[in-house]
Amino acid sequence: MKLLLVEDDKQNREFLYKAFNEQGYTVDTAADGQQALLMATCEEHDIIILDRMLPKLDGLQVLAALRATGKNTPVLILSALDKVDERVAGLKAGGDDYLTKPFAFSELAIRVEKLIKRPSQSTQKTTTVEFENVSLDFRHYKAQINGKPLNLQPKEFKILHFLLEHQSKLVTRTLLFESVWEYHFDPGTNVIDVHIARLRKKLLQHNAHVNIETIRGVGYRLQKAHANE
Amino acid sequence: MNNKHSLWWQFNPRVSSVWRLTLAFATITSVVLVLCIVLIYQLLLGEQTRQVERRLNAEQVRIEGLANKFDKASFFKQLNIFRNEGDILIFWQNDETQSQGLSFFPNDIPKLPKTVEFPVLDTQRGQIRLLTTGIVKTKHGKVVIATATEHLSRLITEFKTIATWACLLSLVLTCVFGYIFARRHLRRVNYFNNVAEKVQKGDLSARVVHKQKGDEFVTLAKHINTMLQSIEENFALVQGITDNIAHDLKTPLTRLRLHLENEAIKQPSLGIAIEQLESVLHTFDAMLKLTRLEHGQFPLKLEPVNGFTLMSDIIDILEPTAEQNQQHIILHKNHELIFEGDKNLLFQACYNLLQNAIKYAGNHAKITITLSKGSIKISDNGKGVNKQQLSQLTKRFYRSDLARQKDGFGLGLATVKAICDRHHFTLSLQSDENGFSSTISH
Repeated sequence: MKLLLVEDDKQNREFLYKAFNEQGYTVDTAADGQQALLMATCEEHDIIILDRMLPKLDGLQVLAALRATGKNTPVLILSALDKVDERVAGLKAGGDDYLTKPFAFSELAIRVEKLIKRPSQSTQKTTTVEFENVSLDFRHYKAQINGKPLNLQPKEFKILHFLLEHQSKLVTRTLLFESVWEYHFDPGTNVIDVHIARLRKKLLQHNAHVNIETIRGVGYRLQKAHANE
Repeated sequence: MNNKHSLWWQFNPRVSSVWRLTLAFATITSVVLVLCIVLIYQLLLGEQTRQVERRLNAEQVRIEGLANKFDKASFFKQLNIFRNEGDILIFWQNDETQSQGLSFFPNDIPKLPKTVEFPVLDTQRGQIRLLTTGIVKTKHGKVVIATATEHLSRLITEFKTIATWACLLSLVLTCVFGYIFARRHLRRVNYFNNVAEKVQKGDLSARVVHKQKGDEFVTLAKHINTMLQSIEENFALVQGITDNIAHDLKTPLTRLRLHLENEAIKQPSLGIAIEQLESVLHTFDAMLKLTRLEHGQFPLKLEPVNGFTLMSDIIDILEPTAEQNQQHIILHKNHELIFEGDKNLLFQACYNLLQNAIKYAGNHAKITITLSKGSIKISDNGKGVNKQQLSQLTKRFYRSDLARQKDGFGLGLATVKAICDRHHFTLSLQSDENGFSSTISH
């Protein structure tokens, strides 16, 4: 997987370069708009992470110029501007997703993964996800542990579905909220924690071999439960 | 909604200042006109009336002179000669009025210089004549002298009729033209009002279209446009500054967050630091958002929002939190409720209200959400707040004594208020012995 990272802040660029490298991506970097446009048009990438405010050429201008050449590489816009109209402008200019700074790397990673997967996902027709002894049939809204049905509220089902899809990975609170409730809103830590606690309790009661780990300030991770737990 | 209220006077010229000026002008014109007419009357017709009186008085002097000069027989002889000359009619006692061709004579004729006017049939000419008469007392007896004044009288009547019509017509014309002018004037003023209203609603690019040269309205338009231009520039400048602050602040915060996150996975105690950082950022964003909302810089994405779905979603999110406090949430749907508004903003407003109820109603409280025609009411049976606090609640950074003990920054209700104002909805808060309630209505 080849990724183009456009970010003018050196430290952030280096950090992200390292982090994506560790995840197995081949990372190209650009520090300004002109360089970014040059690299994006000359080389093929699977995804472009584009900062909104860039020296020489603004992020949206880069995007518009890139789309004008007919390139459909998925673009994720990073921006310090958290305004609805900015977001809309970013997506209108041809961006595929928008993430406001400061962001959690785990959230960026999941969003990038989602964007790369997107075109191929429509051809895949799986209706179930499994992890350890938990399985979920999201077409028929059925959850099972060890083959026995598990009774879940609709939103609990969605949370578990999302966690299963990103099993063993860090999932941020905002990302979870956005995909489960479909509102663009940050409800604060406690509210989501309570939902997770409820789900966790149910899983435990039904002897699931998975555990939802809470990593304070970062998010949640669905993991294999330790034998002694 | 607001438009209907503000527009009713815009198209009613009768409440405009121009119309009031017109009325004042019409009154002054009428007074001046009446004064002019009285003056003309006095100068032309009054003079003629006085002339008649002077002639009668001169005749009186002449007759008195004759009476003193001659004996009775020659006096009447002289009068007989006189009465055939000129236009003065002379009668005396025992005289045949018939010979003068007049049908009758009234009995109560006053002594000159007083006169009386009466109509009489002139049998000789076969027409009704108007005579002004008076009595001259001589030593030979009473002599009545008269002169025909029907022309003068007709003139006076006609003058009065014409003057009345002229007054009425000028009054009507002044009012009609005044009304038309008021409307035209008002249309121009309304145009300015519409532009001002657009600006107030957040469209700073609105300008008054005007001719290059012209009257005071064109000058006013130029001034307004210059003013709007500088406001827009300043706004953009401030906007740019806040955006830059946001950018300059958020870039290092991004570094900090990424590093903390990286470390937190290895060292979970750092999670607290990230949570604190997030809380700061949350407040920072909430403040920016509130400021933008209050200044109309937040563009609304209007769509029909189903109140029931919205509240169900919010309850869905918050119910576990309420359950932790052993609180009970009940949703009543009295009526189908569709808001025309921005889904995300309305979600935030209702979310804040329910979250406040959960936060402050206390353990075991009952929270009731009622959807009625045009309103959402969220009430709880908690302790509520006192009256003084009630009016302060929607101010930013205001925190009641109870709120100080909990997390938060005092922006929640201020944001709800700003969202309601932005939608032209009303937010009303109530607190009594039954508890606290907040209502959003449109």
